[in-house]
Amino acid sequence: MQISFENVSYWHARGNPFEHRALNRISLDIPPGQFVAVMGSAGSGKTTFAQMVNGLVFPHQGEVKVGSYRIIRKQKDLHLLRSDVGYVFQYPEHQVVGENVFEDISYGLQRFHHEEKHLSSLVRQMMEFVGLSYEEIKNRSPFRLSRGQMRRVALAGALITNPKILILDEPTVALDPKGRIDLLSLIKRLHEQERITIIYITHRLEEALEYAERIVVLEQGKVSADMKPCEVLARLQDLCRAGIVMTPQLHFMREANKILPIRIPDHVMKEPQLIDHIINLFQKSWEE
Amino acid sequence: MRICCFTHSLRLIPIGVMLVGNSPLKLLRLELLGCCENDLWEIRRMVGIVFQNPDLQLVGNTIEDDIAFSLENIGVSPVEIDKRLTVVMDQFQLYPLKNQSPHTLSPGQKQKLAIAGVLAMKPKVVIFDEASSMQSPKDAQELYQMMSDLHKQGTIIVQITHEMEDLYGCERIIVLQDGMVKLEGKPSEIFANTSMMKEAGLIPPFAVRIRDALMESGYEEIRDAITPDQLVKQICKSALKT
Amino acid sequence: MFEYLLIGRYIHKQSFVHRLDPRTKIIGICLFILLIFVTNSISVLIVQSAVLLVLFGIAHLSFYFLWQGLKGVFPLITFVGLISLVSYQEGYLIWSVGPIEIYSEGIQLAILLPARFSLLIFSTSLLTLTTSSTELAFGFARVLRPLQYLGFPSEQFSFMITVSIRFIPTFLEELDIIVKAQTARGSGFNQGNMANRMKSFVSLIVLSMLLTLRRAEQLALALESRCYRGGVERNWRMTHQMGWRDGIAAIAILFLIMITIIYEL
Repeated sequence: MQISFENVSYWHARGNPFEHRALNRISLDIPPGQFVAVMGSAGSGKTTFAQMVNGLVFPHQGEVKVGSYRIIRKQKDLHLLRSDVGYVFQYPEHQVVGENVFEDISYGLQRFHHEEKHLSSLVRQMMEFVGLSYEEIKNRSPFRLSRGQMRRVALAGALITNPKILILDEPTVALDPKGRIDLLSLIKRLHEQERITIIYITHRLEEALEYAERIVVLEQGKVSADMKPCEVLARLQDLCRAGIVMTPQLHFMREANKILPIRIPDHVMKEPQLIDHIINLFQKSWEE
Repeated sequence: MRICCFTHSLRLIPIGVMLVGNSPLKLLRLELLGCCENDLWEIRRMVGIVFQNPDLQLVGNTIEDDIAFSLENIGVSPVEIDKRLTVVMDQFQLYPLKNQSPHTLSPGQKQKLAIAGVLAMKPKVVIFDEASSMQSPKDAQELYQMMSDLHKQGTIIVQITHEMEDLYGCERIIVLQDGMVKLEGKPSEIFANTSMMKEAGLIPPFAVRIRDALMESGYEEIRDAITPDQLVKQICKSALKT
Repeated sequence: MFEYLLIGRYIHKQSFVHRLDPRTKIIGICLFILLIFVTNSISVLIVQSAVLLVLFGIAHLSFYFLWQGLKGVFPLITFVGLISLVSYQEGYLIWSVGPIEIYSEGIQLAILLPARFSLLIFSTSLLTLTTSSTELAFGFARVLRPLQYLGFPSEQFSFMITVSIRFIPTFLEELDIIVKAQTARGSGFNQGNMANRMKSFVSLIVLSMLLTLRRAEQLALALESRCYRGGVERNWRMTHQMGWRDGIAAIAILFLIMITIIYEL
């Protein structure tokens, strides 16, 4: 499902003293199957952008198309779009719809009138995919889970309708580093297996670099940068201006390249590659 | 003193209970605070906490009112309240916003406001309980800078966190696991042996990870590098040595 | 969705209404609300609405804002109006079709009740739009202080009210997010049959209450750490003195009360 935004603008609380412009003539295309990281500081319009893809808000100007759906109020059967677009909100407690984990995860299937025959086996499959024990927690209330577990339940609930697009709004906020890595590896695995479009909203540059194929930076409702991860080092200034913080690795690479005899190439982004490169560097310079 | 506490599992220590029992904060020693164990309200005045979610600490309808709230509670005179308000609002650049409602602020500004409210009480100790985990990395950086500045002014800082990258400014690190102290020491001591850290479920920071991998491949001279800048220096030294 | 609701938001200005003593405003609005519910005649209600509009104007609050607020409560008041139209069966029969019978008193009530609701909401909004939380806390605490001699915890009660007011915008923002989150999962707020929509609303209310309770717990902890001691007398940073403005407001309120009483008798 192709996503396309053409000259889209949107205001919060339009006509009110509290009005403010969230999106400012945004034009963007996301081809099917792409893993896009959307970055920007608070108020840059990232969440509004993502909500528009799911038809939760409608553009005041411009046009948004998701697959064959136009995102306008009059669009017929817009609610069916949501079985094709999974959305994991920033705080999973806002999305709880069932009294226990089983009900919560299977909700999507029941709402969109999918085959109900194999409900429990589908739920079991989904829970195993996200790394949760079916027997242990299927009857537990979602509120009695740890934050990481709640996020996985939310993910399972979003994935159970086999969506073609998955939107994740800062899913690693308030998770510890290990929890972040586990969740992200899961999403990466999902992307590799199913090739669904993933829109990943984040503040953390290291996550975007590690997992995304494309990084879109929003600043005050406009697209201020659109790049591949390997271009990040060359365009650090654009990122800093948009309020995004450099990772320790980028800082290291930038400082090292000022002094080292052999430059660390920009595309060396993963740690094992970096380590190999440094070892090669040592060996080469000692040979000379 | 600036202490970083790493908790493997998230645990909030209620401020009333913290100086009793097995809590690691008993390390602070009550003599430092100059009061006895029973005077709970005096303890609360001297030990401020900044929580993870700033929204749940802000009760005033305007920024001014919110900072003044704590001061009204502890019986500070109106004249003194106004003085402290001006100082603290200037410190955090909140003065232009003083009549705005807290819910109109960005998450970073909300956290600044929460800290301002705590600092107005002039505490001896400030505890930051995962105060940066709901903030963007940029706001978190500003937060750490603020902690550093506070520490230089003589306040004891206790930082409860999961984030490994920003503990370089600490004088002492305490690693907790299952409610007990597993590791304790200076950053250089803790990072000298990362296997124990990993046992406690913690992932070392970037520079330490690279250093460990290089040492494993036999490059022992990198041993002392624990920050990215030190790593750059050591690697260049090693690469350029004749 | 809830961005148009007015209650709970304070807009800082220097108008006549803003500068009134909070006690004057609280007592004044309470009396005004009492008058609204005592009145049975539509013409007096019109006069009272006019007074409220004038007050909004004096407070430099835009009428467009008021109109947006009216749009926000429109479904509720229409609902109330319709219910009273068909269920109140006093007076003489005006029209009937099938099982539905509309009586003259029903028509009057169908105008009175929605009007009263709207006036109630707007007068309360006027109070919170022009009075900051600290002023409200001071006002409630002082107005209710006499009750303390009867054992009523007025200090804590007034604090509770003002903290609740502070959290109204936060609560509404969260409600908006929950609605969106649940819609994203397929909940039917705007489509599907009536049963589904009711189910969605119920689940919305349950969830928001649960989250509010959790928030309350965490807030209580934070309050303790900020040295809030419940019933102990707090030092007010700003005490208020009555002034000439309060005198004028008092006269205006008395005047309104007189008009209402005269008209009702």
